[in-house]
Amino acid sequence: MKALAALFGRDVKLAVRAGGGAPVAVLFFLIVVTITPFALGPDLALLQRIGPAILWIGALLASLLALDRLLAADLDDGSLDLLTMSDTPLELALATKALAHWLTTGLPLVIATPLLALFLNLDLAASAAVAATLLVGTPALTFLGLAGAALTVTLRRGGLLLSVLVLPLAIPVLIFGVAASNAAVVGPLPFGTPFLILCALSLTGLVIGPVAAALALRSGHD
Amino acid sequence: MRLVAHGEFIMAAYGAAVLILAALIVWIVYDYRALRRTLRAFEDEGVTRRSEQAVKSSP
Amino acid sequence: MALIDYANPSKFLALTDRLIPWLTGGTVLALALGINQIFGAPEDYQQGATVRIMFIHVPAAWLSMFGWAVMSVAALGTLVWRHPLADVAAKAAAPVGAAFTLICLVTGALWGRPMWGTYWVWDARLTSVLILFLMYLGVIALWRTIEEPTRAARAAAILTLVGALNLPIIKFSVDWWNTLHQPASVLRLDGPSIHPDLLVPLLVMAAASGLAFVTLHLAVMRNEILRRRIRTMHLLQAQRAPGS
Repeated sequence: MKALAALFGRDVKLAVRAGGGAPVAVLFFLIVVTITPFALGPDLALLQRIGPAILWIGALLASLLALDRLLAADLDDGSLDLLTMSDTPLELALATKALAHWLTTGLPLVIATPLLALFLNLDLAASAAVAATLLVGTPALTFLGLAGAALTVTLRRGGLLLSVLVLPLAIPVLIFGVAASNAAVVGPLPFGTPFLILCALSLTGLVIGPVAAALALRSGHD
Repeated sequence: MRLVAHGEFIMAAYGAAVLILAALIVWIVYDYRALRRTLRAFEDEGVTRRSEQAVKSSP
Repeated sequence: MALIDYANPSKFLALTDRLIPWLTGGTVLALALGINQIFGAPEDYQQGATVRIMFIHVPAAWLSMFGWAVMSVAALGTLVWRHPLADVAAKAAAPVGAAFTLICLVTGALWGRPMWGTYWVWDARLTSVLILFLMYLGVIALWRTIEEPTRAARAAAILTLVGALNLPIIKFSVDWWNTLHQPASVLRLDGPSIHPDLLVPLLVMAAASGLAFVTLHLAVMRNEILRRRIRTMHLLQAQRAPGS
């Protein structure tokens, strides 16, 4: 437990002090939201209608881009080998790393969401709904991405492959995330059902992601 | 909705299926021939796998 | 010879050499029978003549899922028993499965044009098959990216199993998304209420396509075993080369 806490603290500190992680991901998110009206035209009514979808796609791409650094730095300096060989179960260590990663890149995206929602003409309730769905949905993306990162970390051009492998698996998260947000804005549907399924997806990801990632890292070693 | 009306779509669907399978078969056969050729070239050079060669001392 | 002996790649190779001609013949016969039944049958079907596309579309859809199932079983073989033949089976199933998935997509689009008036609708079934196709391409990309065969096999096995766990979730979410965005009056392409006149040719075509899948899979496996043999020989040759 102590080792895991130390690992968590180290990862958070590294992410905060080294820079390049969270601020750039948020900047990317901002840019995706900014370029969309150039493609669609500055029609505020249209932007309001598809706003949740734009925000979700932006957050999905931003968290995906940050993923290839999730394990790569540890591979470069050898600490990934130490983790693999240590007494602490690798699954738990990887889950801890994923949580630290989410705290430093996923959470800033969630915090930035209400601000970006202003650009898309979303009202307070809608932006709160999108932020809430992102809050419970982005962990699922991080855990899925953890498995993808473990599979591709040793490859030279792993970043592009990582996106190709992870994006199809992330479709359910996108569907329920956008559906819950839309339900809060316009829909006749209740907000609760898709929101709870989104929570379930994140919790399932918490189990599948680290187990698959640990399997991938161990099999890459022997 | 008779055959005459949509015959081209039926033909296109069957044609596409045949085309995709034919591409797969051509790839398999071409690959197989190339692999066999390479294997024969190795055999002519006298390179064999461990399971086929006489006991040799390893360096 | 017991079945377990065929786990030896050399014996498996001999077995495929003997089986493939018979399987090819069987496939051709079954396909001829199926085509004959389809086009010999009376054409007063509910959906018009275009229903004939179903006889390739639906078996292809079944085999697209069957392909992933084969890969998942082989993936278990790779991860649990670390058997090289399981690696070969998993790798060989990917292009064959992807080909049948592509057939399903193309014939679905060509069926959709006369039935719906457009080549592509974001129908739940078609969309799920499209995602499955993308996942096949992802697995193939992963196989091609990792040089060392055993490492590639394990990575692909993990991806396959994660995909297999995700496929029901994807299917469910796409179905749910579909009911959300479209009225319930979506045309059912196939369903339990299929006319018996259509069922017999469909089953014959399914059997024929299944035979085609097995034949192609075995042929790709044979190629893959040969490819590994050549790889080993290259390595041996490099080892024995003078000055190394």
